[in-house]
Amino acid sequence: MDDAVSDPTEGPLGGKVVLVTGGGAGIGRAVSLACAAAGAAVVVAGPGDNAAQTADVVNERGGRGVFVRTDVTVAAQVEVAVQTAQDRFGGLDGVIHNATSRHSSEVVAIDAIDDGWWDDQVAVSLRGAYHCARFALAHLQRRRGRFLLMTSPAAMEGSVALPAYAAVKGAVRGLAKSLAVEWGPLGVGVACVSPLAHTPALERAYVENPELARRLARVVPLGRVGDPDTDIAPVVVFLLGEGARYITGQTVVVDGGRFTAL
Amino acid sequence: MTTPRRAPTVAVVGADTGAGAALASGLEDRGASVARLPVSALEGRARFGAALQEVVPRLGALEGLVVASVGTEPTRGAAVADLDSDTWSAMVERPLQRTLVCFQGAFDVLRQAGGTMVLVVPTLSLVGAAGFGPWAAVTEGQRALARAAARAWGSRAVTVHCVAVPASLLTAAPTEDGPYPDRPGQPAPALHRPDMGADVSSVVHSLLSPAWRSVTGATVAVDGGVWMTP
Repeated sequence: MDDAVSDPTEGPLGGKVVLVTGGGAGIGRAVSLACAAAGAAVVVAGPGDNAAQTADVVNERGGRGVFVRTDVTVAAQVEVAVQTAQDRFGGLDGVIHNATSRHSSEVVAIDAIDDGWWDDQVAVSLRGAYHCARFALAHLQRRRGRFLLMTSPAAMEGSVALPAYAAVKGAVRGLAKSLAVEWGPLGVGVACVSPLAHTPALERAYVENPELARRLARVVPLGRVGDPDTDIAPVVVFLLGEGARYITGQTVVVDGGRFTAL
Repeated sequence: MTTPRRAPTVAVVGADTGAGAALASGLEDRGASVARLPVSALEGRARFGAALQEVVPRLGALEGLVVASVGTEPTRGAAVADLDSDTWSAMVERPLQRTLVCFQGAFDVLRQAGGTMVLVVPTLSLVGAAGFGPWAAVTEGQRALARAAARAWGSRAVTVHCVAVPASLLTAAPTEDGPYPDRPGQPAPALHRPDMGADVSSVVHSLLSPAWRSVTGATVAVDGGVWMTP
């Protein structure tokens, strides 16, 4: 995919600043690169060096990226990431909270969930969303920005294999819907994206459940699992852009037609 | 499959709240044998398991578990961005943790002979409500977990449902200054505004009956036809 940025002020996100959590791999990396290619300056937040590499790629392609080492479960680190957007790029127009637990795809039945496992799932997806909301709102309000949260089909239809993941992603949807109502009068749009894509998490799920890949291929009407770069990230770019300014409170399902029950 | 009796034996969790007490009374009025458990019973899996086991010698084996409340903290209005970390934890994370305890306890007592778990939740989570992000987060987490459990436990004849009711039935009346727990400008009820003792308990009682044995993972809105969600 050619993501070279010819002019950082051009493109559908030209002049905007976005923050992406979990930007080191998978959908977070794809979203970071796509936003940069669309003209946005990107704060790539992540706990590991791979997020720094994403920021490097943004800059190598002519975009504007900065890495902030960020554990979203720690309030102060999220605050620094948000402040970096302000200090380096002059503001913040969009947050994409994509980070999720490294263990999110590991199979643990409800009766086997212990307190540590539960807290790990809650901390990254849900507490991280709260931290992003808490520190980003004032910035987003100034620029009539967008707040996007990554959810999952598991949130809407349940999951035998991943009940804790389903619960926290469901909680994220509940939070998003109410924030949309709450922040609408402030000019801030809020939405969830429910993707189905080849990601490191899904690859790990394949290892846990080898039948999963074949099952997914059968149940996706478009006949394939999505690609983070070409199927998911462009939708996120759209939701951050002017064409989506009247969309709020929705869960946008980007899954090749697998989930059609809404 | 062991089907619930016409007068089932159920535990109502959160019976120390106004909504829980009204629900428990409504179920008793319909012939159910009801064990009333306080929210404090949810402070840990072992404690909740012990509370459930104490019911058996008194009322017999449980056939249903009805969750009326996992704590009143989420029901208080609060703007998410204004919350400090401790308050967020109290309003969202601890109630979610208690929800997990509910599910684990339900599985422990229902998995042998089957039964039904019902969670009473506010409709505001279906549609969002300003000032109630924490409560909506807890509730949608509960509904997602309910679907996960419904899928996982169906082979053991354990069914799981949610009953969504106007939020005002689950919390104290709003203060003059505070946010109102339902959306301003929401559609008028097509029927009447339900009450807990008669309308909601009637539906919950029905869900505990064999009539619903082919249904699981559902959310039934008992709101008089306000939100007709897709």
